[in-house]
Amino acid sequence: MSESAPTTTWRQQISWGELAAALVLGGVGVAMIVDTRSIRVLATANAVGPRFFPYVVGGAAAIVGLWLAVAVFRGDRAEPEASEDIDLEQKTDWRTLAMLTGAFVAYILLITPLGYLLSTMLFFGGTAFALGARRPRSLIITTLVVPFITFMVFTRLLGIYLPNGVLQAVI
Amino acid sequence: MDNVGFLLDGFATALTPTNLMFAFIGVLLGTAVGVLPGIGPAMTVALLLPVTFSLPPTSAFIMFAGIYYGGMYGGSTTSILLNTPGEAASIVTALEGNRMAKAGRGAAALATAAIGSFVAGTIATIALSFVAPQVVKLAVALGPADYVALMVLAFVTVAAVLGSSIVRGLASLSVGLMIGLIGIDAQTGQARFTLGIPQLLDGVDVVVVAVGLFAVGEALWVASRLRHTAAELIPIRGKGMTRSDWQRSWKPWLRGTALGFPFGTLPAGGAEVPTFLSYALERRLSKHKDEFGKGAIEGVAGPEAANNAAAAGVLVPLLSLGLPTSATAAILLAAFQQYGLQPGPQLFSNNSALVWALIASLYIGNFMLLALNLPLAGIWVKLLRIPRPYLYAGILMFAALGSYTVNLSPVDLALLLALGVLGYFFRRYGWPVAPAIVGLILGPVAEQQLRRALAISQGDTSILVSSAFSILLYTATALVLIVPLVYRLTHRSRDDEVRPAPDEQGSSSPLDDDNATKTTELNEMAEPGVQSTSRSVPPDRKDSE
Repeated sequence: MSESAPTTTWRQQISWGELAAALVLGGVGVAMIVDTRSIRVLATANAVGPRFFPYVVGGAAAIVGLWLAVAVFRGDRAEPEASEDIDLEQKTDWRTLAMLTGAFVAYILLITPLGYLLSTMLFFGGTAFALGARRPRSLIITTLVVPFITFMVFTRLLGIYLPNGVLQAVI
Repeated sequence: MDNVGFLLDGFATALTPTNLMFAFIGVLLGTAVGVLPGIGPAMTVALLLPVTFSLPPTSAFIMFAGIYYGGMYGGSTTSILLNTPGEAASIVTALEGNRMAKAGRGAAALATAAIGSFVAGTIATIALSFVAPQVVKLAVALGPADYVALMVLAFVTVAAVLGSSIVRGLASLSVGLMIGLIGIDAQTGQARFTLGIPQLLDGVDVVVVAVGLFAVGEALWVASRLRHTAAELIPIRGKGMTRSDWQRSWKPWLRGTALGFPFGTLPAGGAEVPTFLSYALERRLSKHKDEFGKGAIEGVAGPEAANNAAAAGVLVPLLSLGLPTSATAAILLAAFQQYGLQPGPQLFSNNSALVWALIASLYIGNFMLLALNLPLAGIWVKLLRIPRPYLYAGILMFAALGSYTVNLSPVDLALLLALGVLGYFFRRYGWPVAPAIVGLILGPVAEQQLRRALAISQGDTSILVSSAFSILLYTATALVLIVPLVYRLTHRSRDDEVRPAPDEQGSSSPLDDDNATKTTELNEMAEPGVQSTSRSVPPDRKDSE
């Protein structure tokens, strides 16, 4: 029953992305071994210095990467992770991913000059919009209210300091 | 008797009004976040870690106890009403629980899950309070080499059990170990793999890695394939548990507890295995075998009890040996480290007040959860209706907040994004996230023990296998790696199929069959016939990439 028609294409396809991921892992392992040689070992260090464990880990990564690459090359394919809101039949939505990453990068750049509250409102609104929130009224209200409440709870209730940039004097 | 005294002292600490409030907040937050779709217990704990930054250790850990158990409870609600388990340990609950909800017995399913969790959680917490001190007594005799062996076993079992394929689990583990090496070597003060970035000298903060891989990775992964038709949410119907429901539930609760707790204490990946075993057992013992697959209450009661008993069991190696055996436990270990505490035998002698207050608040948290969950299930369900764009925007906002509060540095946010992208590829290529977290947190501890062992022997590696205990552990590790490989090889030669052989009887259609590969290993351990998540995904979906 399991080897029926729908599964015959399994072996003919090699997932190139997966193969690349495995090779990257192996490559990072090798790079780690090479880089480990530049870690200075003090003369006073006893038998096992700071190089030993990196060699073990780098070696393990190289072996596992190679192992996975061979498995993938021979047709082994992964199960992409399932989740509540995931539709695995869809193609990757690069546009949404690019918008999300863009919002994130903007957040990284703006959080210090603008301060936590303003930059977070931009970030929250931007990500919600990227993910498909389109009704202006609810988008604007949540974008203003959710970061504000979060900010107040963390700074006033939990006593955690969050620098607030241009609004520092106001709130 | 000593320990009973300590436990009573712990209750005295935990029952002060302030600490009761922290326990309550923890339970409330844990359940609320755990209910949210896409968030499992590990992510719940990671996201809520920053909330405790400003608290004194005892209050923080009392809150964590609540968050830990609350996250577990929340997950079962989601799987029953949405049929979409947030984590492997809830897959089985979704199996029967969702069918019960569809058949109009949702209230009974939620009740048996909540009461079963309470029964199992309480019994398992009692067991924890007695077993953990015994393990501590044994642990004192362990040398550094024995710890190395324990950690190797933990690494390999976590990689093998948490995920669909061993090699991908090991790949994830080695990524975690590599990230864990970044920063200044604690023993010699040498910078390692910092790529010249000064902010990396202190290492990558655990919160940033956990939240990046779990929360940001999940948000990106969801964003790439957002389901545009919302998953079907089944309203709670029915009157709760009838007399016959009680009669059919109490034995599975106890059996689930008996399975869950011992498995939780072993380094066997936490709650996944016992829930599957419990389901298989209840199915075999039930007088209503025909109801299985259509909403049998035993199939909810047993696995839910096993899940919660295992959650308490996991705390035994965590507290007494400093050995996390699940992603959630690894993040709890990181929480201890934030306060400069290292779980292990010394924790019980040096910080006994804190440990026992934590254990006492597990009992209290359990009572609070029972009281909260039976009447409030309807409110939790409302959380499932949050529109997805706002839900994931909120998750991202909290993830960023948690990472930002660590150092108030945009560099951590950049790291968070990079780790989120890594987490995205983990999900896309089926690498489990949990082994990376365990490797990240346990790796530095393992290195320390390894170097300590080799310093004692002056570099002679034979010390690593010098005790019977360590040889036993390495043998077990080898078995964990070899047995599934041999199993696959023998099956492959028979049916000339590249992927792992699906179970023989359980699947009736190619759809289920394809789905079943995810849990094939577990199915094989349990019994043929346990099917995996019931969402149907056509086998050709991989072409969509």
